[in-house]
Order: sequence, then structure tokens, then C-alpha cells
Amino acid sequence: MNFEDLKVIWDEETSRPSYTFDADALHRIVLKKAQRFRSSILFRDYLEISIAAILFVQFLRGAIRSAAEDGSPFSLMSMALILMTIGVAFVGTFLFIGRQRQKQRDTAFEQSIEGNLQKLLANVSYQIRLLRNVAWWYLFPLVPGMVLFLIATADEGALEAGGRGLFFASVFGVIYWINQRGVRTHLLPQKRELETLLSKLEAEKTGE
Amino acid sequence: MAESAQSSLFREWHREHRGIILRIARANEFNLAAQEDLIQEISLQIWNSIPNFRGDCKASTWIYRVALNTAIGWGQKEKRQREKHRDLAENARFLKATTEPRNEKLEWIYEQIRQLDPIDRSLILLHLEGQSYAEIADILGISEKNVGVKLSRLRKDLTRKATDHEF
Repeated sequence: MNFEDLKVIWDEETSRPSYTFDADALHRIVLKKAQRFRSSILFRDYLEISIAAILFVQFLRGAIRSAAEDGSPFSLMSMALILMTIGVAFVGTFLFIGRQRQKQRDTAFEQSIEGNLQKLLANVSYQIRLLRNVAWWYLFPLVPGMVLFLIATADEGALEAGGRGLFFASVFGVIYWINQRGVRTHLLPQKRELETLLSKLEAEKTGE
Repeated sequence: MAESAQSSLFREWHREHRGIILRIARANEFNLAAQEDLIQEISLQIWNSIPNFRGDCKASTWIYRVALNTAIGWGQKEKRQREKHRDLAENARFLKATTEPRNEKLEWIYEQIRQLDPIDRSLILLHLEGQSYAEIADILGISEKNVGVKLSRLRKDLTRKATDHEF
């Protein structure tokens, strides 16, 4: 047995294929999927930004109303809502810039398998950085406004304020935990696998 | 690029090169449903890649590149994520077995290829498909010399296993 014999067996598949597919049915599926793919990308790109924009407007309106009711723009509630507005604007802008940068980065790689592996690795590494630092860009920018909000509402009773504080802290804790779990269980193994494949290709390139 | 031109090229490629897509799917996935999912994903990526095709390489080289890259990315996705892609195919199965008798030797070759890592799998697949060293080097992004070195080992391994298997 030599390799040419295996090649003959392989080539039999070309002349007498074991499987075939209905190209028209597949074409219809691909068109549907392409449409769905475009809308899901659009949805993903604009959902987070839209939520941030809606919250931005709501908090700003709340701050203006509160300043008018309290007769001062420096009342605790008004300041809390202004800080929340700034926090939400920061998160929205961060997400938007990150998305644009990722799109630019994706076009910089070659279309070979090596280029594709490098692109996948860059994307996984970016996701890891993003999720590992979720506290800095997503949670902490909202904390000053939240704390001030809790102080502003403390006169309703320490128990209610404490309960609200605990609720916010739990939500933040759960968001943080889910993100770190995603990094550990999904993204890091994926990164290691990609690094192994890439190092294998690179080792071959340098003739090791 | 107009959608009608994209659609016409897509159909032409599918007509001429469907064997490439089928064989790459079979070399990566064992069961029929998973092969269908991968064929769909490869076809979708080929569709999306058409506007970027400048004609500076053969259509078959482009399809190998897109298909192998998709298969590598596909392997990276979690099973749960991959199953999400199945919904549309559920109602429209398109992969059919022909009346050709099952070729046990060919099945054995596919089995061996599926056991390789994605880089070796791509290399041996392209070699079996009759691609030149220069084309393989271009698709993988490594030198021709290294393609030769690597293939020599892979050919030897596969031949030894075939001999042990008493082909």
C-alpha cells in the first residue's frame, strides 16, 4: 500500500460521489441565512448603543426634572442622575468605539489559514480583555451615580436604602461572575487551542 | 456587487465546486446532520465572501480557503452554538446519499482525516484533492518547502496506518 493507492480511492469519490446536495434548496437557505445574518449584526451593533442612548435620555430628563423640583441643579438626586447619565454615556461610547475598532482590525488580516487563525486569536483575546475588565468599563462608571442615588433615597428609611444597595450589588456581582465564568470556561480554552494551532504553523514556517 | 450577480456566481461555484464543500464537510464532521450544518455555514461564508473576490486566484483556491477557514472556526464554536445554526435546515434537508455503494476504504480515509488537528487535516485534504504545493502554501500561508516537509510525514503516517489496517 502506498499513498498513490489512497489517492485513487479518494478520487473515486469525485467520479462516483456518495453524497450530493440539492443546490437550489441550499441556495434558498443561504439567502435566508445571509439576510438573517445581516439583521442580527445590525441588531447586535445597535441594540446596546440604543439601550445606552435611551437610558442617557431618561437619566438626563430625570436630572432636569429633579433639579427643577428641588430648585437646585446640585441636589443629591439631580447629581446622582447626572452621574448616571455620564456613566451610561461612557459605557455606550466604549462599546461603540470597540465595535468599530474590531471591524477595522478584521480587515487587516490575510485570508490564508494563518491569517484567519490570527484574526480568530485577536478576536478571542479582545473578548477576554473586555470581559475580564467588565468592572472597569461597565460596572464602575455606574457606581458613583448609584451610590449617590442610594444616599439621596436614604431618608425613605435605612432598611429600604440598604435593600436597594444590596440589590444593586448583587446584580453587579452576578454580571461580573457570569463574565469571568465565560472567560474561564469558554474563551481561555479557545485561545489556548488557537495559540497551539498558530504556533504549529509558525514553527513550520521557521522550519523548526 | 449587485445581488443578482452575487447569486449567479454563487450558483456557478456551487455547481462546479460542490464536491470541495462536501468533502471538507465530511472530513470535519461524522454525522450527516452536522455535515449539513457545516455545508450551510461554508456556503454562507462563501456567499458573504463573493464581494471580496477580486479574481486574483482561481475560484477553487478561494473556495478552499473560505471553506477550510470556516471549518476551523466551526470546530472552535461550542456544540450549543453550532446547533443554533440548525433551525433553518430542520425543514429543508438538502444532503442526500447517492445510490453508489458505500466505499469502506474511503470511509476509513475520512475517519483518519477527522482525527487529525485542523492544520494537518487541511494539508492532507488539499493534497488528496490534487492541489499543488504552491497552492497549498498559498491557502495555508506557509512556504512550499514546509508544505513538502509536513506532507511527507503525513503521507508516511497515513500509508503506515493503511498497511496496519490491512487495506
